[in-house]
Amino acid sequence: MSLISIEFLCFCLVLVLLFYLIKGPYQWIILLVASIAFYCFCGPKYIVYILVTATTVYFTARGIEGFSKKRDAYLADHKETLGREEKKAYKADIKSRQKRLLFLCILLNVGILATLKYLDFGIAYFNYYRLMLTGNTNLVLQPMLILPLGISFYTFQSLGYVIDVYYGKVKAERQYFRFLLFVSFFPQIIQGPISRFADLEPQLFTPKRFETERIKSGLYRILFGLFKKLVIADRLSAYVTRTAAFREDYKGIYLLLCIFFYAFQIYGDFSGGIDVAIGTAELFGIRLTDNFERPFFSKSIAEYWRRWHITLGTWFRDYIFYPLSVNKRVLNLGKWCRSHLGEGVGKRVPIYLPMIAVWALTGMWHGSESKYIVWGLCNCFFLILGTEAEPFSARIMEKLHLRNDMFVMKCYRIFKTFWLMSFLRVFDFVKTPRDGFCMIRDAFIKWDTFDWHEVYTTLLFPKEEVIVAFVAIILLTVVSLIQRKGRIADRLLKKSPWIQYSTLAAFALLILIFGSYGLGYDAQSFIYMNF
Amino acid sequence: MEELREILEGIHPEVDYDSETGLIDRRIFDSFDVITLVGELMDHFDVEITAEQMVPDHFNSMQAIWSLLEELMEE
Amino acid sequence: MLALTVFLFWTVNLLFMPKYIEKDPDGRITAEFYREKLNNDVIFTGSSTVYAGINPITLWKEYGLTSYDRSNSSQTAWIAYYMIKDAIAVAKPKLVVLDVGFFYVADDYAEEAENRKTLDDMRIGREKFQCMKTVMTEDETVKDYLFPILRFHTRWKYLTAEDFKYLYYKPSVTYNGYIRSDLVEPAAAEKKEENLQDVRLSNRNGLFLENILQLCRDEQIPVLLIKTPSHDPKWGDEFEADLKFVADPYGVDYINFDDYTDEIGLDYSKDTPDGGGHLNASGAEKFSKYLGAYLTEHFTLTDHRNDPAYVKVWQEKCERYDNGQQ
Repeated sequence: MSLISIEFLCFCLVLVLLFYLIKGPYQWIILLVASIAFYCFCGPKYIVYILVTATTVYFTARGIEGFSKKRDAYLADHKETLGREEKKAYKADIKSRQKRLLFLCILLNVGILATLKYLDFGIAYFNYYRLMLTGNTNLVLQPMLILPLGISFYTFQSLGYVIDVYYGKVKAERQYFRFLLFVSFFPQIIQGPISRFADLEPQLFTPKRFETERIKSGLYRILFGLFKKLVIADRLSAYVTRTAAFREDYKGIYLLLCIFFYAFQIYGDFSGGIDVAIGTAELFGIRLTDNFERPFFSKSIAEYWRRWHITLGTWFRDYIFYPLSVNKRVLNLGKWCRSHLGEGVGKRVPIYLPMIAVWALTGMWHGSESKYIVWGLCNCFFLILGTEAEPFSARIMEKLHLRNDMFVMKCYRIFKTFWLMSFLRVFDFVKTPRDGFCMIRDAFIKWDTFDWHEVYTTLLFPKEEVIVAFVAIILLTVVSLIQRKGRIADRLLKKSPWIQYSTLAAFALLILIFGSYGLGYDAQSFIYMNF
Repeated sequence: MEELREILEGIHPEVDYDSETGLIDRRIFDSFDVITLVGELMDHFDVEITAEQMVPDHFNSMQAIWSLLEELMEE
Repeated sequence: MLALTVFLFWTVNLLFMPKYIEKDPDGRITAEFYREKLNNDVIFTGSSTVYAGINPITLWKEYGLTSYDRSNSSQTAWIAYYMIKDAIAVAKPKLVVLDVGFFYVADDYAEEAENRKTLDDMRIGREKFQCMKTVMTEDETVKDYLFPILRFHTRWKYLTAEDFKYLYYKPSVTYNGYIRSDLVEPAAAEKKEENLQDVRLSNRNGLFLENILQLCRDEQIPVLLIKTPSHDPKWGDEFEADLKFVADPYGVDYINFDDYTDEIGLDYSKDTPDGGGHLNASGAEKFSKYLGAYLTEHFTLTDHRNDPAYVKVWQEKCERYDNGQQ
């Protein structure tokens, strides 16, 4: 069952009714049953994987906390008898046991994820290179593993939790089924957002009373998400898929248009799905973390990555980047570089090294093909370039009497960031890294006259579709501009009922009429679903 | 404290560190700056900051950073 | 607000549904059936040869018969079954005349366009759901029928003045299901050979034919199987034998009117709009007269021409028909 389907809407309707009919303390059971049911609708076999993750993480967290309790009790009991050094040694011993436990748990779960995600590609590469290098024509069979729904998302969410328990930031959940709900909460299982235990857990279990405002605000969010997904993303995907498939046949401007459209396709697809997820959760009085903050208005790449897929970015920051940067070995390496290669290098190593690692991982997270790693590292390269070039560009700006807060400069920087990110995203929808580089090159050198008529005929993308696509993109931009002043739903709720109603009805009709769904349109599954 | 102020000003000179209490929350310091800061703190104060301590609350204001340092130096 | 929502949704649904007024009026046959104020004694079912070849107006004028062409383009045996079931549920007829001209199609035959023309205007009820389940193509879903907008929303690019003009009110465009054609396209000079020489009555066609016969027996309605005159299809003796094999146990007759072309007076150089596939207005006139004579002779049917209630209604129909011809 897709989030974008009438079935899902009906599913939610029934759940909302049940949820508010039931007494507060038991409401979470409805959510748990719904989550399991939802997961089973999507493929009952795969529930094993999510249960393995939930169970191992649950027990690891309990184990880690058990050690802490044991340590505290021991230290309290032997307060007088133990010396300072003995206490320290005891603490270190416990810590290393906890660390080992944590490490095992991470290894197991990342292992499952990596196997399912990369084994087939690994074998394919192995076959290919063995054939090329040794001429051995025996092929190792690929097991053709299928990724369980949302595995990247729930694995990350669970691991974030167990690491937080290890750090002592949150207490381990005692009840297994409550924890299972945290891992499998259905609105976010398919494609995030990746929630933190500290944020989500208290919300899941507080009893809620029915409030019209909440339902309305959830509905706005869902409708806007459906609009982004069905009217924008699925419409543009027809053009993008075709252009990418026949890349060589297209001239500069078509490729440029394709790159432009892909930006909105993927934004509409992903953020639209997230809006539906967040809106759905809101129906049950749960506010999930926002995953997007109008990223196309970012003025730099660094800012863009703070505003796009936010929960993944902060996850990588907190659980990979920070731990790596303050890791003793990395710091020592930095010190060594400082004494041998100079202050500048030494200062940068502890930052850039973890950064490169994070971006290679981010690339891999998005997909198993090599193009994703190229994409990740390109992002990293431009991020570093941006940082390094800052003093330089500041000097130029000063000479030209330009300031970053001037309107022109803001526009320029937004424009620059948008296009840079759009070009990088090319790697996402082409087949190989080489194709990506070629497409970017062709977008500039194969420049020729532009003829709309040719677009309609050669791309099978009728004029009316192009017009609707552009109008929808403009509408999206306008809504984003309004969003700057605060959540749309909150602002709408203050308006008169008629305005609220018209907005709701208008969006519903727009989606109903201009959405790309039904027979003849294969309402594609989410681009991010299997990540 | 003055030493800390100098380090902070080395990273972002334009901030008024006496009144600012949202260095992280208001995104004045990005993760870059935080790591630079942590590196400098470890050098200057000879403390060990681990991943556990990397939470916004510890870095939101000069006062908060100072409290963290005091706590670490005690150990 | 709820009322407004329903109204809005309903309007948008109507707007996007094909209108079938200026083109393809056969899409209106189902809808207009429910507008009938008085019972129709005879129900004709079958494919397009029926709505082109049997004119209820002629049957009224000549014999005082009240009838309706409950036919659709490419109406298969399984659709016909549900059309008869639905017609009986609305008002029990005195005779069902079943044209079997389309009973030769393959068992998996299904056309979405025809399904929509047949089903979209069918009243909501058990018959409609059963029919949907039976006739839908693999890709179609029930929800597309319940909310036609889900299927027709892509028509936003093709909306014309017709769609707005006939948004809420649609005038009647058929004459009790009959769709008149004044075109003439002579059939090829030599008589067409039998183009479906080897065809046999397939399992599913046979099953639904039997279903229809059983249904009418249960309801005690007499049935007549016919093949409306047409050069397409022409089947061999084996198919005829198959039909009779199923019909005989029910005591139902089968008449292939292709065998009576001369008696009817059909002239395929004038009486067909498409080279022999269907009958045009003059062909339908001739055939309806002949068929009417046969029906009144073999079945007990009432001549309603002395019944003022019927006369009033049918007078209007005749006027509309005569005006439509000018």
